[in-house]
Amino acid sequence: MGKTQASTSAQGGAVLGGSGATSHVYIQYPPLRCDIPGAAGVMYDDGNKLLLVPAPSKVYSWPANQHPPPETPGVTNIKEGPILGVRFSLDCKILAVQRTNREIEFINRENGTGFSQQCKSGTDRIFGFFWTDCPSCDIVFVTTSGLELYALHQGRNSLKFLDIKKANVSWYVYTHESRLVLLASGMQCKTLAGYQFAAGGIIRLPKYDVMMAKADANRKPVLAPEDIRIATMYGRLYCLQVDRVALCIHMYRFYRDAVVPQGSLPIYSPHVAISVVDNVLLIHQTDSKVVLLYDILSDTKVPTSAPLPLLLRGGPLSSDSSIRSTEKDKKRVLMNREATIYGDGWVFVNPDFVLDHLHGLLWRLRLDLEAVAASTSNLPVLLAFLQRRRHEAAKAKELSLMVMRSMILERRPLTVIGTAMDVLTSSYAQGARPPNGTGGSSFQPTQFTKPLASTIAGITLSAGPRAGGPSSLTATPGVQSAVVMSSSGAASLRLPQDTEDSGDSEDDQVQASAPLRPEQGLATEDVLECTSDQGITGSPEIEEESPTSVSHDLSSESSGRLEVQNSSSMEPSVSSSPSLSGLQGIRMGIAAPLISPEEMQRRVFMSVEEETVVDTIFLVSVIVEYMRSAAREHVRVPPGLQAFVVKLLARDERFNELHQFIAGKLVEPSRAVALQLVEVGTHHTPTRKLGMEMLRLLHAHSDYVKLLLQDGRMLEGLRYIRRNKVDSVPPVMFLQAAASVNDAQKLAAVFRFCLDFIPGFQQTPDFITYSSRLNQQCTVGDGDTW
Amino acid sequence: MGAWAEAAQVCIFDMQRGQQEGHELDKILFFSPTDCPLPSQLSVIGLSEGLITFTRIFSPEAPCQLMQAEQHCHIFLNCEPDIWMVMVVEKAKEVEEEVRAAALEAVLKEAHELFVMFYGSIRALLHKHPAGDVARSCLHAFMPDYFADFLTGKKLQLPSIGDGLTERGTMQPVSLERDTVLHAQSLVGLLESCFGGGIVRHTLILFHGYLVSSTLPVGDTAALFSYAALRLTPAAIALSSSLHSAHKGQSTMQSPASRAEPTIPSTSPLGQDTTHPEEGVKSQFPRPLRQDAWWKDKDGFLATDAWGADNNGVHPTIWLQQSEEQVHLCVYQYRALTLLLLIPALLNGSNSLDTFTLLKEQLLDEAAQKIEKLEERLSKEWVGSNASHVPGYRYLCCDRSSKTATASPPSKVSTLSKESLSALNQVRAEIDFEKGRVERQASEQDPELEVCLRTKQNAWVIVRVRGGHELYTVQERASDTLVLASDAVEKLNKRHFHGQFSSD
Repeated sequence: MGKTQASTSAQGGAVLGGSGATSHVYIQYPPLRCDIPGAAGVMYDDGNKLLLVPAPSKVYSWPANQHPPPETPGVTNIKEGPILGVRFSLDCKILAVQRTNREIEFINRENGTGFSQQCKSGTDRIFGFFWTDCPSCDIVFVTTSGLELYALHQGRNSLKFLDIKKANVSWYVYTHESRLVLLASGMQCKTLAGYQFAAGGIIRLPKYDVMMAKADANRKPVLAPEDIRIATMYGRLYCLQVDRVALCIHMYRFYRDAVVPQGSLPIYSPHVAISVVDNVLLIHQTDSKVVLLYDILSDTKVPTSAPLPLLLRGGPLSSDSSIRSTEKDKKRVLMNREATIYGDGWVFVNPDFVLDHLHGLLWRLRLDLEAVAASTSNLPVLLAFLQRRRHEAAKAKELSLMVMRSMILERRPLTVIGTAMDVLTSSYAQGARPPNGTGGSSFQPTQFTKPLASTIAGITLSAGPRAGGPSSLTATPGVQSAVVMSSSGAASLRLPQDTEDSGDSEDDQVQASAPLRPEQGLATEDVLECTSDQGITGSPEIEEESPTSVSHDLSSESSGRLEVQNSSSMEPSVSSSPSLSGLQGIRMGIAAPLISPEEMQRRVFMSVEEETVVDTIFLVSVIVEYMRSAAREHVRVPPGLQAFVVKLLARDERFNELHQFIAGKLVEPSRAVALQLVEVGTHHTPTRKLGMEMLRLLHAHSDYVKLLLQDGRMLEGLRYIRRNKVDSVPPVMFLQAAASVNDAQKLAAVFRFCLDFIPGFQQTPDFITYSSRLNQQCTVGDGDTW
Repeated sequence: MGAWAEAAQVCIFDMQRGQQEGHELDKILFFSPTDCPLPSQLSVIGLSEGLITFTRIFSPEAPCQLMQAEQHCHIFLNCEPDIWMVMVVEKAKEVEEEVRAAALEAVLKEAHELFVMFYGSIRALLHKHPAGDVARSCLHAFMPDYFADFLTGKKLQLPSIGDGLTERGTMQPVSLERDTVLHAQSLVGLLESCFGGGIVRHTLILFHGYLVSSTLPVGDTAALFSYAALRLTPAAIALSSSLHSAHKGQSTMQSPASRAEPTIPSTSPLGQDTTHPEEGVKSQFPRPLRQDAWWKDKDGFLATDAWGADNNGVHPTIWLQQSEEQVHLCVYQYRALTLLLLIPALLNGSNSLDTFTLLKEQLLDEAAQKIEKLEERLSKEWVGSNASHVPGYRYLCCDRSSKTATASPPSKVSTLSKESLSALNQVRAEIDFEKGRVERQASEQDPELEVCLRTKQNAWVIVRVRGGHELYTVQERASDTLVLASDAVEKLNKRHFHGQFSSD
């Protein structure tokens, strides 16, 4: 599918061992398997990136972001009993287990002690809870009447109630990545209020209503939690709302004090799921099993690439065969199931995980940058896309270099190449300007580090076993991270009990979402039908930067994370920590596919030149384009590249242009350039002179004097030495040079100079050597040398 | 006729021709004034030839440059092997110093350079058409147009001592910011990469009468630049257009070219279709220096009929000295910015028209925006023609290797007293002589000279020659001592010329 550009793709294959199959997004075999017998479900703890599987008396945990996945899980013993939700504290020392609608149990893993905490008011139910690294509290319970904030006591053996943020809550959505909780309220659950538990403190975001299209006039749609997704892209927080009636996804961006609609993306069936991989928005059309990629920073609202299926890679057989069999797999009954893409049990977990709770598998979505590169024909746009990738920065960089090279080799129009150069230099300039330290690996790591430092939280589950009841409601929201917009329309985290029955869980969730409403019964359908009447098409463009910047400032403190989204009302803030935008991230030293001018020189221009396919005239034009874009961004062009230009021009004997380049300072004076000029000027005197002149103006005394010597201009050299007090070239060298040309007059002059200006010259062996020699010559030559 | 006929004669002859007695006339390729009786023509040429042959005995490489007689002065230019241009200038009656010969020689050089650019070398023409008729016709088509530019009214204005701070055949560079140069160069790259490259072989960018960028070798750049400065700058186009429209309006009247006719008589009055022996000569031999040769079309391109009667069918062509290649000249003008595009003539044939149309379209499509931007930048940076003025100095700094020269603006030079100019003229003549001697010695090193001269009016003429660069200065500050004047020049040197005239 997709139009491929032969050349690019071919190159890609050659250089990077392209992936062969046609897909832009893939999941890498093997998945993380967690088939614990008797397990009560699978939960994902996004605070710690752990996959948790509660069994009757144990909680198993796997780090989710390792590949290949670890075989053996961590185990924490707990008491038997119902489990609605599990999360480790951010330092992973305390495990919180939601036992009932009213109570959460805490187990200290270090000493095995434990305690329980009930919610404040007897009538409330707990929807869920999450740990935070915000300074003012450690854990937050989401209940029907709002948020309860607690802190751990010193001894870690009890919780201290701090505060309650009152709000009517129908359901909630939280992601640790964004530190943002969105609370849905109202008859249609379409009023969203948000709080961000940022490192800088708790930020209340303005309430806002999402827009939903009505399926028919009599029925009011109800917003379900799986319709709302908090997405963090480039450090900006978005709320994505799936409107399954209007067939579009509305985007809202959170600023500190506003929620701004950002337009809509079309979807082609009500069954969609959303992931964010490396800041790229993936919209899975689960019906047709294809994925659309959107890069919100590219100007267009069109997908970055053509829709292609999601593929499984690295399986024992070729990646595109859906059935693979090897010994390794034979022991697994689920072999085929593992290969089922968009299976019934799939839940899309924020940001880029897929939890297959039917089979106990956790997949991680990955972008195939090579495939994207191969199928994109607008190369500057592609380069911009590649430059924004962080997960596989090294690969993105290789691809960028390759694209750049092939553009030149294929002689693309200079304007296009110029635009591409602009992309590369501007991203380099933005990334490199503040000197950054070491490169981290990507956003993800950064995020991790912080959270990890704090605590390990447990995974929130979606509905609990008793899903039907209100309690299940609570659970669902809590899981938000795990909650998905699955194809079936139901959320998918599984209840501990019904591992296999996703259908139930869906119902549960649905009900949960509308727990208090009259319409509860309608749940599923309603949810699906929800549409935005108001049609939040919003302004398509991201509006202003100013709010952003504010938020950035705030966030800068918590440097680490991208953050929050809010679904509910306004105000989400990008505040605190999250604010690291992609670009800022770069500044923070996260590895990025930046291409420095030196690399441009070595990996692009020089390597293109080696291929000798491109005529030098064109290559020079290309380098000039690069210089232009570098100048625009105030990026310094390395002297080596400028010397390279000199070499290219001289090779074609375009000396006049060379002179103009130098006169116009297009090639800036530097020692490297000057020496290159002298070298190429061997057969073109004016150019050689130009080089020497440049050395002189650069005060490269010793180079200059040596060249003078080489030219036999000794007296001039001596004068120069004396005037500029050069001591790197010993005058004795002049004596040798003068002696070697066999010119007694010159030798005498040099000798005299040494005698006059070198203190203690008479005591040196040179004095004796040359004076005797001069005497000889004087006698022979009748000596009027002096 | 006219003043100039008396003031100067110009002849071009080939010493390889007419070697047998009775065929002497065959030597003459061009003689002006044309109505000069043949015996006088022959006597001028005979004298010249004799001198050349004689001096060749002593100096085979550079036989004869100048002959000063009581009333006339002969300037010799050996423009091509065995082909000589000789200019005979009558000395002024008043006891005025005559201008140094090199200035007059430069005029001949320029004429020859331009001629070669348009028609190819004289020798090549003679080779192709041994009868010599084509070469003669070409010279007769070209030279009168060239010298017409030296006419002010009816008087011939050859270089005078007042032009002491100018150097014919050099280009005045504009000093631009690096960014602007990058933009200009980027435009050049864009143009030359059109159609996958190779179509636009070379590009010159001019802003007003200044050279911004050129991809041609120095010699070609200088020649084309001289032509562009004469005929293609916006000012020249404005003048040409007015002539052109006037010409169109009254086609029965004298053609503009024929205005030159009374002053530059030729064998057949030039440009007079009626009297020209061959009616077709006008289209057969291009007259690129006709004053109304070019006008601007609505699309911004300049059009000409000087290369042929048909405006659309025939594209102007020129020869490049270095590559000896014939190229089409295509000129685009946007406000003060003039683009000269050179397109290989090999692409000629039936396609060339299409190529041109395509090229023009593409140029407008892709480059128009860049051109506009560049023009804007240049206009912003443009400080006017007085940019090169340095208060307190009248100077000329030229670089022979790149054929560029920076000089005080003419309006400022004109404030110098006659004495100063005359002294300068003398010093320059000396320097020319000295340089010539060093050159003949074929020394590898550039001459290094410094001359300080105090005039009767206490002005200082200071000249420094170093590393192929020459700096001529005149300071009219009566109170200055040698030290002060010399220091002042050193200051000028350091501040404006990177200290390249300091002897280390």
